[in-house]
Amino acid sequence: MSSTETNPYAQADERIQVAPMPLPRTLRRRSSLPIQLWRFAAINLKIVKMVTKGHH
Amino acid sequence: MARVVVLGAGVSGHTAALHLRRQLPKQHEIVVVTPNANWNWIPSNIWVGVGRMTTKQVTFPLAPVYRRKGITYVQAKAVAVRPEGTTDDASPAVDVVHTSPDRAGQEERIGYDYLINATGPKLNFAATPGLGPDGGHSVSVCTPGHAEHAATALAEVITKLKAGQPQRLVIGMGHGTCTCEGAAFEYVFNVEHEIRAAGVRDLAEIVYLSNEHELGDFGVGGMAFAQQGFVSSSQTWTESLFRERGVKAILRAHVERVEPGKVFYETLDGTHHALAFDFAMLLPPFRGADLKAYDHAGVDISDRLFAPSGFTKVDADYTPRPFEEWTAADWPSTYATTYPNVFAVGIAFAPPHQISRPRTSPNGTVIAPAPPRTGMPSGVMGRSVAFSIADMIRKGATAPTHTASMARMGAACIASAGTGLRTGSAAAMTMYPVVPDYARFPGEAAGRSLKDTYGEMGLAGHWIKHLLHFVFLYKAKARPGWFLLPE
Repeated sequence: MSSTETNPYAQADERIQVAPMPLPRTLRRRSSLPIQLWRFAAINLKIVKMVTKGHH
Repeated sequence: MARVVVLGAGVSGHTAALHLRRQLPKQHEIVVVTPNANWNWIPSNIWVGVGRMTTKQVTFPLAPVYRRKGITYVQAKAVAVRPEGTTDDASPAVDVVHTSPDRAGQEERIGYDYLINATGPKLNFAATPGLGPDGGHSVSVCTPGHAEHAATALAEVITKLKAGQPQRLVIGMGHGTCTCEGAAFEYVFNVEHEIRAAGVRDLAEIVYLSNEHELGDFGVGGMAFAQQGFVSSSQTWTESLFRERGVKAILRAHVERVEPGKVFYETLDGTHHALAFDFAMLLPPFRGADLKAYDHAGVDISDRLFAPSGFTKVDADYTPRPFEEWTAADWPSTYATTYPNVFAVGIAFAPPHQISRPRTSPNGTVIAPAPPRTGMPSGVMGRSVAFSIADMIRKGATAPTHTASMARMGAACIASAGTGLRTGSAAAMTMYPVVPDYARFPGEAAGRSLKDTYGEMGLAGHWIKHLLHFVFLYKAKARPGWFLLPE
């Protein structure tokens, strides 16, 4: 079987085109210094928790 | 006095050697055999590959660290394991070939009481004709040297974009059985970030080419997240990022060959395709290191110690079974081989099977991401085996005393999506356990704890990844208090 370069992205595109698109406020939140400082602490806590799990 | 030989000085082997040295009195010898002169914090190679870091920033020389810690450092490549010794000397030993400039090519036999194989992967560019920077037609970010070469090629592409020439960049996996999809994911978004920052994003077509069945699989079968009152998936989450950043994707692909400016691949439906490119960063599949094993009479017993992939068989259940019958219990916990004084950790151990469901095209081509076992799990395995060996030597334990099954271990993964202290971003993910346990976490949890499996995009993730760069270099240099830093 063979095919050429006719839209090679079609299969993944079907889903990507309808994937949730972040709102401008979501993008702002992702780069907001105060919010991200808080998230920095929160994610680090999650990682520390993960580190303690499964260490024997 | 006992001698512990560690083959390899990557995350797993280096961690094991440092912990062994700390656990064992000085009369016991720790020997590290590695062909490399430098330690490399591989996750930051992504930033070398976009020209944001240099080789010097992601590496340091091993010799001074081992000298300071009292670890014997042998710059050599292991070529054979003799777990039963020889007819002349029954002591187990490993054959090595030196790689340092002053002893290059010299052979040596090093006896051991305990052996840890942490040789990591052989970058198997040869599996795909034309793949890779050494005689091939694509670039790689697997080593600092490869990454610097990739950065140069990327800079040329950006120059052409600035001159108004449209460019297609293909980034992903160079074979249907590759692992490390996360690294390709990081690189594709770092490249997109750089091109956008250069103001020429509209002229660049950026394509992610992967063996994953869906986006967000990452070789771990994807993840389920509980967020904002819903169970969501890493697939939806990743697709959202691809949509936001305008990156195209080709999935379920096995790259068959790479020619100058063109990649040829087969997809799971059995069709063959060709895609022209101006820049291609394609990761190679991994194999075990080129190690042989011999019994006391010199008979080749490699098939007893190693899987066909070259990875070392440990205390896993390797019985071939269909995907539906795989269980978390198949995965190894002590990393001991059939020889109780020989262990294998990190990428060097043979996984019992994939984590993602393996699939085969109508042509019989296997398109199945291999299980990742790098980073945090690698370090935890190295430490666990070091503690077990220390107990065997100091306390006379007859079996490993510590376990580190990937089916009972959590992991954190910070996947960079662009660098910059104010403009960077990363996907911060945690998962527990790494290997899904569908009996413990059934249904929509998809084998993992919904409480502990988590994903978030943002600048904070970039800060964490940047912080980890310095933390792990500090730890690997065995600076004061290094052992307090987790793997």
